[in-house]
Amino acid sequence: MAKSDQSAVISTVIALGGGQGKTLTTYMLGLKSSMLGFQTLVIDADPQKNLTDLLRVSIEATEPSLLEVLQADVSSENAFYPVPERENLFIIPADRALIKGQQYLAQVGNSAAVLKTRLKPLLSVFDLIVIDTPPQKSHLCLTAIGASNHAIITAEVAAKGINSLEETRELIEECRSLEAFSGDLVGVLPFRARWTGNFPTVDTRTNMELMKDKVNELLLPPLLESEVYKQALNYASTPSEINVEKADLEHPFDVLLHRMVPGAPKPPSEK
Amino acid sequence: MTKQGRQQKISASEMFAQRKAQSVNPRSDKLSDSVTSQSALPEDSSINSDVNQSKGDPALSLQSLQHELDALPKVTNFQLRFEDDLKGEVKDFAREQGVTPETLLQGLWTVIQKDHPDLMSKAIDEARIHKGRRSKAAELKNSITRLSKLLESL
Repeated sequence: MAKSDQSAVISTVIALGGGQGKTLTTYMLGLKSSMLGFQTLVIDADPQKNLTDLLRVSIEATEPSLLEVLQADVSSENAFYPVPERENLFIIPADRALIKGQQYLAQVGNSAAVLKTRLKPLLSVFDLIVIDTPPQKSHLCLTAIGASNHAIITAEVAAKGINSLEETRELIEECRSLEAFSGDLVGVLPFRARWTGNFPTVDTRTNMELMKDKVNELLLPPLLESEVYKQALNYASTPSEINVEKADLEHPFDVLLHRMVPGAPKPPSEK
Repeated sequence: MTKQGRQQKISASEMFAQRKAQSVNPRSDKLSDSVTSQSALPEDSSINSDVNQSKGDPALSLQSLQHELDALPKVTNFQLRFEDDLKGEVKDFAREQGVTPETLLQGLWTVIQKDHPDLMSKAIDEARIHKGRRSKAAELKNSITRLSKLLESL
């Protein structure tokens, strides 16, 4: 399905802490967006290359990756690949050599502007571009933020996640004050919320209330901790593809897509 | 999702299919990067000797290199999807032999066609078994998607 005339929505998923759900969020937004028929590009901007691995994409050391795009060795048009068995979904992959992108961006000086410039040839090709970032306040993270018109913060529903949420919000505001980011913070996605039966655990409820105090209406429906997600990742699938009864687990991503992508369906009322 | 009446731009699939394959200098994450552009060149002294012979004339050197390149087979992208276990085996084996998975497959294809055509029918039988498994998986995925959409509409 070819793209409409509108320019691509570019979202970056950020958290200044490891294990906060960034890669899972990027993965799910990519899959769900492509399943809705949107031309979707995900970008792995983390040298840990977890997103590339989850989507079962493998490139040779001599094939273009995000590193070469950043360094302007290749155009972004020559560095994306189809995701296996996924119509409408493509990836600019990474491998561990992407760490050298840090050095390059540091030398350039205005790292926040680099990826934005490199993605221009793709703005008329894709409906949605989602970028997975490394969990550090690094030049790779800054260049992803600078390229985006939407930011999504993911944060584990725990003390570690709340600290990460604070630091990440400060980073976005810092980028905004330096005019490196002029987009919207679309939402804060609570990650690994724990439920027993129909109710959150005490810890989850306490931490969700703390998050709500900090971000108010930006707080999205939580992502529940579930073995189904682990199974889904093992099969490069979504929870609903593994078990149709688990479609509810994907609700936060339906909400995000509706907020970001023109034409994305409105999900059922938030649970 | 498109709006009626708007002109359609090129799709990502079309862009991917139409683009020319591009190679880059081999990447490495080693701290002391010993990979240089020279190591990406095939082991062929004629390339170096061409360069040496036409040292005084860069244009001549470029021309002779271009002729040599034009004589070699063109390489294009060929996306393959493998079963996980087999992919690991092929990659490991290729790496141990100092070749790439793609060149290993090219070698196998050439040898079977040329020297062991008797093995071809066995290979095709094996391929049909693998294809059957994939078709089954695709059917199951389609059924699951259709059924879940039906349940949503109820």
